[in-house]
Amino acid sequence: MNEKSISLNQMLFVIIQAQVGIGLLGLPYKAQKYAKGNSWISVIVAWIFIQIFIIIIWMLMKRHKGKTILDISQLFLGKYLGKLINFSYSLYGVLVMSNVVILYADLIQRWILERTPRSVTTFLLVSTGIYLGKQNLRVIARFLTIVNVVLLLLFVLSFFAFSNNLSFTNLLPLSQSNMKEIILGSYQVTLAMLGFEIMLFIFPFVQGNEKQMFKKMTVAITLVMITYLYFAILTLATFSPEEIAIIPEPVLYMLKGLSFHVVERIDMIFLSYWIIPIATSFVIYLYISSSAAAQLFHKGKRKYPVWYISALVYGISFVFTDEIKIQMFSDFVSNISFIFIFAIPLVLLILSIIFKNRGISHN
Amino acid sequence: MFKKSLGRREMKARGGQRSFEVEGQRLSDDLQENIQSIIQSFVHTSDLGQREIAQVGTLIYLESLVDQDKIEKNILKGLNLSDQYLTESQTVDHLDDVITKMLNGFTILLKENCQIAYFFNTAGYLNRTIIEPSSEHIIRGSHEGFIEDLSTNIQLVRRLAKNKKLVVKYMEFGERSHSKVAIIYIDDLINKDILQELEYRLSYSKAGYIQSPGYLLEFIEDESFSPFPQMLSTERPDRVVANLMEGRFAIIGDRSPIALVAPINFFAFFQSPDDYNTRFFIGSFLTLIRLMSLYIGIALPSLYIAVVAFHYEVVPYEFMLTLKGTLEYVPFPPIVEAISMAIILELISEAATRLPGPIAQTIGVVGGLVIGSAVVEANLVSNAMIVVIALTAIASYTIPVTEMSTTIRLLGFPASLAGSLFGFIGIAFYMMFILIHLCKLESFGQPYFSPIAPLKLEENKDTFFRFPIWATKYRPSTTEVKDIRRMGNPRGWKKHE
Repeated sequence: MNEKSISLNQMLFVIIQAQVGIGLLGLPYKAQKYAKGNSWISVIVAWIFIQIFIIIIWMLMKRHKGKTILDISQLFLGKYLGKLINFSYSLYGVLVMSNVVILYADLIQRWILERTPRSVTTFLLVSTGIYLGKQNLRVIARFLTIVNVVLLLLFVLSFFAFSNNLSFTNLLPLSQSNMKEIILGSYQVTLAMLGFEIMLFIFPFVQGNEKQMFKKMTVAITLVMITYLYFAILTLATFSPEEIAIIPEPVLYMLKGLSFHVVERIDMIFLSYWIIPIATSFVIYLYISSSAAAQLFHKGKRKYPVWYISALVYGISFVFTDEIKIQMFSDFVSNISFIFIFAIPLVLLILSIIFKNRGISHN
Repeated sequence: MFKKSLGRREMKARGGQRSFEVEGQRLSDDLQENIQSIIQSFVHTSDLGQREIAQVGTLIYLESLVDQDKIEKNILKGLNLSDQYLTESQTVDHLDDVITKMLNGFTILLKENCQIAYFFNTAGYLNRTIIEPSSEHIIRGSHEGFIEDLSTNIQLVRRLAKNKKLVVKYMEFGERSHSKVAIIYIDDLINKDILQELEYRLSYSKAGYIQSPGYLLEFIEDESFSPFPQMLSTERPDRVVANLMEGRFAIIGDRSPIALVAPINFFAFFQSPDDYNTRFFIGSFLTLIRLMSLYIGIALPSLYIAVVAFHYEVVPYEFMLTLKGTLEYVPFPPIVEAISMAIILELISEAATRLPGPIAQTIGVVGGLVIGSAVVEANLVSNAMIVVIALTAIASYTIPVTEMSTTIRLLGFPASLAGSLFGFIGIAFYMMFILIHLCKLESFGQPYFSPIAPLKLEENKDTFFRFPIWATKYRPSTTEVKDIRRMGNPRGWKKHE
């Protein structure tokens, strides 16, 4: 067995962990801005979009067995343009990591450690990220598999939220937002579900045939969609439309409202656990970024890029501290991400179909 | 999997290592010369015994290692009875072999005009009796433990596993003191890659003196700078045999009651033979308790510190008042309390281990009762902290393997520090570090944290719960055993009722 190979189920969990992260906590808030009470429909629409992206990625990767996007780009766009694309993927990874780190530091400061400097909490995340990120894919996949327990924990905690006064009428009427608003909302949801692009980088290392992989990829994004849908509905029912408009992390506020005889403030305990999905998102993009950089500068060895990329991200996190800057940066990263998850794979797929006989594996 | 090792093997063959071997000198024709060279080899040691037998030759042996009775009864009698006696015995013709034999308690017979030496096993050691190992007590089941004699230990293993495929391989280590070590495995279960890797690693184990398998352990374990033990050291034959049957190997050294078992996984350290001698409800309950104690052992002090130092609001108001009440007059921050209390506890336990039994109890009383109540009355440590630390210690002592239980307590210190610096967030990151480390760790190329990572649901029947024995029909796949099936269908009779 190759040191890099992972099983189908590990792939499933890698995708789930890549997708679920800091985005879930603020999910209904952002979608609500556009789609109002129908933001749960936006989740389903977003799922359809992602299914389309997944199909593009799958078709592209299926045509070139044993190759990652880094090889395919050079195959069709030539040495220099291909390397530019790879470099941009590395840069994209850095930007997303920075975004994760910045949002995380902001969240921690607002919710748990008010007086601890951001540089310290960021350092904790980055150093943990390095420790996992420098391991081989197998170890990363093992870790990402077991930490799914945290998602189960989230579900268990959320059951207590049913003791709140839930008004499911908030979800109605279905006509409160038009098609355009729903799609704009789903755009926001898609951003919270990013991470499936990891498949562009790990596809050749999964043991299994393409059909099985397609099934598992679909199962992964569907599970994530169900999770998001569940929380969207739950928070929409818990809070009135006016409330949601002013609370940036509805899921946390929902948990904050609960209290028990032994534990109050479940949100804090939950948030401490939620560090793990945040860190896994970080590690996924560290893997993307470092493997792109490794292919460009280090003959495929990720050992060094892991360190300097993390250092770069740590540096960037110092730049964005106030709320407006964070928001701008976050929007910027979100907007460019569609180039990397959709545009580039699509262009490569079209090129691959046009230049049929170039570099297609014949096994 | 072991590609790395294959490449290096050649380098070693070219003599990259320093060799301790002495060139072999053959025995000569001359009896006196042979005797002299043996005496020379032993540097005129006083316990070198000689006995001349008319018409036959000279017996030579180390008095301190042989049983005089055996010489009288076996050799002398045998020589008197028939002339054929010698032909039945074994011979050597190198001086070094003679020396090695003598060091193992053999008696050598040297003859005039003869280039070979005859040897007879006359070893007379004193062994202690087979008793239950004090570090691994169980309630039900076998109370046998290994002793300091290799052949007795192997006998204990063989008696439990009557299997013709059980292989014992002797190896010798240590150039200045030949320590005999036995590697035991079941040939039709163990994966050959693992065995090959073991032999390769052992080929580097060259040292003057190998005192115990503990030396070998440090030479061959995968990662020295990991807090977790990567080989199981046990004194129980039943535990060794159970592991052999899952495709692992054991290393037993002469003059040491410890057997090392590898490749092992994390959860093996939380299992006790007791679990399998009781019914599965009780076994599962005990396994769960132990795994819970793993979490308590690492995290409880840090959680307490995080709550009182950072997150008051997590516990209900009334409870917080109680906590605050005990903390009121304590001048130190909780981390200082925790660390100092934990150190005191370690001191007490260490002192109690080293002292003879009756005095150890005194230490328990003095340490536990007197110091415990005095520090609280003097307001040096809060009552709550005493409870927390005591709970943590007790939790860690429930883990059946001492090494692991010490590891757990060790891991508690950085956890407390993380909790006191960053609250819950610090603990979360610390736990993540440990988890990542466990995912990364391997024991002889096999994942250490299996069957959790990589996750194999069907093999988790023996991890958190001990499923009924008939449910575990397959051996764990992590050791890549050749025969995965453990049993047929022991409950088949149910269908025919």
